[in-house]
Amino acid sequence: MANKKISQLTAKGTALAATDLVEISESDGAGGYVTKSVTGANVKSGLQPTLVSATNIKTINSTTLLGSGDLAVQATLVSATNIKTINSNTILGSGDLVIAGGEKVPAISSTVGTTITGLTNAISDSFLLPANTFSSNCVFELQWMPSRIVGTSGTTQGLVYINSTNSLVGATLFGTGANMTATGVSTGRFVRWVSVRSNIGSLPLTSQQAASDYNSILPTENLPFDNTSGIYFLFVMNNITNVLLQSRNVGYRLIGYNL
Amino acid sequence: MSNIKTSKGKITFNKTEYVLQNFTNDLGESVSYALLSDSQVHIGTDKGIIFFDLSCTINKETFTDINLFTAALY
Repeated sequence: MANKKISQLTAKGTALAATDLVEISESDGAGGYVTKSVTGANVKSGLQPTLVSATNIKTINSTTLLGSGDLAVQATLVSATNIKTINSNTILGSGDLVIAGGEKVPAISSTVGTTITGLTNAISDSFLLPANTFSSNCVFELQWMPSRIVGTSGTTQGLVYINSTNSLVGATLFGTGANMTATGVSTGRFVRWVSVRSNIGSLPLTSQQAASDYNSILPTENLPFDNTSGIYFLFVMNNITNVLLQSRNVGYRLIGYNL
Repeated sequence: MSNIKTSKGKITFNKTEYVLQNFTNDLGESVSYALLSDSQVHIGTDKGIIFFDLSCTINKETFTDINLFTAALY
């Protein structure tokens, strides 16, 4: 082996065995080197072990990272570039994003309610205002559409009640729509605006027949409205003075704001 | 069947106590109650106008006449 270049040595032709010897120059720490040998086992012990998916290299959503090719990942989020903003404010970062002062529309419907016949107050339609939709101080507006569908005489009223259950018994009167006396089919849109302070609502007199509150009306100042629990809004038809009258509610909308 | 419990100008229904008081009806009159039909009535209270009907008992007593039912509340 003396006086031979390394390129002139006979090739081993197989993988390094644990017992093979490899010549090295070990630093003496003072700028010099000392010729020594290490075994194949010494060399292999310093190498990274073969990667085995899910054993010594993690997976992503159970998919191996081993193999060739590009692993597609989501690009880094850049506000207003590849993720939208809210009113020009970034939504990136940690913590809670408090949305305050926005309009809430917890209920809107064009459902045709149950037809109510004859001299009775009965529920035609209803919805549940989920708990904590509104705070103890809020304002909201309710619109509802009673419809008189059959009858040549008498009066139809569309009333609204609120209750903790979807039941009329024990319910609190919320509003009384204007009398509907037109012969045949007629539909009205009735409106109430409610100001709630410390879970007590102020609104137009609940027993007064009125289409809207755009004119001054005696108030009801003691309507309990505590939305820490769910509140059912009940759309009730009352067919007055004619057992043949039929009516139903055909739509509603509730919008409001927490204050 | 739901029961209404009465007690000296007050009623209790579904664990809520109501103080009976007048309300203004749609004619502008101060009334304590308003009959809606042969079986239904609006009762004025400190918590608004409450709907009751003959499906309720009053102090466990059943009624078939809305006038007697209403009178039993006061």
